[in-house]
Amino acid sequence: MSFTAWLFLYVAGLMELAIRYRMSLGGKLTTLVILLPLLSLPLLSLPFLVRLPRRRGVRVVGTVLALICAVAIARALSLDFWDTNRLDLGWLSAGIGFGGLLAVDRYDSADQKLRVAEWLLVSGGWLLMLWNPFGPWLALAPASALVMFRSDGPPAPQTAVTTAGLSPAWLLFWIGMALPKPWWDSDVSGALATALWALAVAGAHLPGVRDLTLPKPLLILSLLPLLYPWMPLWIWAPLLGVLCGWALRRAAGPWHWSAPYALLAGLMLSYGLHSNLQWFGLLVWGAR
Amino acid sequence: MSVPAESLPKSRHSMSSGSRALLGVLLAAALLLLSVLAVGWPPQVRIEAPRLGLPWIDRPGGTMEIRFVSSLPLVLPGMELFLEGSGGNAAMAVKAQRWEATGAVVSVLLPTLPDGGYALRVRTTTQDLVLPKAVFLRRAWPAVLHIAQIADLPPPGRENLMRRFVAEMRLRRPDAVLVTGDINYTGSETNINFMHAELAALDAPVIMTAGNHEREAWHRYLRVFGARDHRTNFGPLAILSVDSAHGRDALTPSTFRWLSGELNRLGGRTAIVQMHHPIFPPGSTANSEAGGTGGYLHGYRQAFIDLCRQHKVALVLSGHWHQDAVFDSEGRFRADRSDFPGTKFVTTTALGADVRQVFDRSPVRNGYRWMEFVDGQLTSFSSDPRNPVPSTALGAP
Repeated sequence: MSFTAWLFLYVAGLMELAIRYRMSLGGKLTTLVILLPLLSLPLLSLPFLVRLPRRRGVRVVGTVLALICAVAIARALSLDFWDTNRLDLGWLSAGIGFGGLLAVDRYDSADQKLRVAEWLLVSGGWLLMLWNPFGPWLALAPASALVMFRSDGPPAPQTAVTTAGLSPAWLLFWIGMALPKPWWDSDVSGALATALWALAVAGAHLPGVRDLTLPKPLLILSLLPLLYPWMPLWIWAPLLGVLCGWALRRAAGPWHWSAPYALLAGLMLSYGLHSNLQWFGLLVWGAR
Repeated sequence: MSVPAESLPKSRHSMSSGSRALLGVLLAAALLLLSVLAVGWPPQVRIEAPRLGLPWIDRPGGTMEIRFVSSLPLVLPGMELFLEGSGGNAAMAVKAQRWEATGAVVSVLLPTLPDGGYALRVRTTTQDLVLPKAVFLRRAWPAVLHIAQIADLPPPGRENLMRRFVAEMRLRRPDAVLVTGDINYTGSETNINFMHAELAALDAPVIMTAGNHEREAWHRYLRVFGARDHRTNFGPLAILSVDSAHGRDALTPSTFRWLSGELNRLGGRTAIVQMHHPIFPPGSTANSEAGGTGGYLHGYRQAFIDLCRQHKVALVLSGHWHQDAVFDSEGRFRADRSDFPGTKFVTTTALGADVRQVFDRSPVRNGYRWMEFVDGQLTSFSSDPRNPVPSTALGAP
């Protein structure tokens, strides 16, 4: 699967689940197991691992591993709630992470139709979260299968995004700051908003939309966390999605192994600020 | 980081690009569909509401809504629904069914059984679910209603305090018991099951909201007690239970919108709000310990106070401080009095024994608060059942 699909299905999904079920970062073995795939990201810079995901057999193994683990954990916790201290479930979570790492492509596809299809899958995965919290992880294997049979051949290496003077790391950091705002509210609005967001990202790859340019899209992106409390979700989430789509379109790769950390940093800071209620948000919308 | 050219995949020409793309789309769709089926088959359900903590209270013949979460999207298994209790057992017929974002809402007709608490039983081909004290039948509402409120329940090792409270409530017979958070201090499974069993032994409906300690084992709280923000219509009262304890002692935008929406639909009922966190800071009467222990509501505080004023909310009940305290709408500390106009912002001490003295006055600790409503209007409340102060009629806030 493409790197961005992996980021917003696995990494963002893990963060949402960790917050939803209050995963403790108290140094427990299970927490370590759950975080292993993310902690092992620097290994991806090793030369033989750079080549590994390019082989179809490796991708198939990764896809199947992610599929089996995602179905297993989603079935085990169907109608139930995740005890993040259970080691067996922790290993299943790690299996999804490692499977995804084997199947992921550090380039996003250059085929715009394929990217639209992939983002529709991301949207579908988050929509499935309304039914089962592991919906985004269930969409990982299908996203991988979609790209394995892509028609565009090897992607041409592209330069990193420089829109509005921001690097991919900054882009992901700001997406991490904005995207999870509804997650901190309640279960339903979080999943719905992210599904709407991904739908709009898909829309940003459509002909006619993808060529539009904004002078400072990332500046607007950085303001959207602040606008969230005032704007209806069905306006806020698609607006954020279109902006993210325009920006991500220019970041086709290769993605650096540290990119997920930028997204995670944004997600965690957003959680720390908790809808900005703790800091300047208190002054902005009448909390005092 | 550069990628060696040899690591890039070689083009394959054995299949046209269009066919390959189509194959990818079909495979992705099939995998997703199979995953959904593998996760949810055979179709099963979880009952979100009603249950102990968010009961349904209505007259026989009224329509009750049961909220289900299903293991398969948009599929409900065939099921039989019953009310079971000491007053008898009866099957319930389904009147209507609709799907919402997270599950199905099934409307049933409440059977003609004697007044009292009943378990909701749901049987499917693979499940037999029984939720004790989920439904209360009540034909008439007397002019005077009594409600008991507790918060910060006893931690493991002090179970006798909980048993004593239950025994006392069986004698005093309140019309409802509100539990305002921190039910399971240590997060242990044994403790939450004990609390569930004790609360189920009460004759009155139990209406609950979560506290910060519920997050010690959030999955257990969700499994045993369930929902976050919810409303219980209780005769002339509407009890709105709000989750303020999701990590940052604050209302969030969606919670505030939910609360605002419910207050706009009171339909003549008097509103009571319960949330774990007190609304106001302890203020100048607090002793130095309060700074470290007396957390209070942050986000949306002024907006929430305005909302209470606008909708004439009678009471805002809290816990968290392990100390009795009463504030008016301006945030002035009113000791434990209630003879002032407007919404009463009331904090109730811990039912557990670890009383924390937040204020520089000696703590009055009786473990729970006892409130009286006459014709839907709050008339008195006290934390001291031996010496209720004051008993003057307050009128509409």
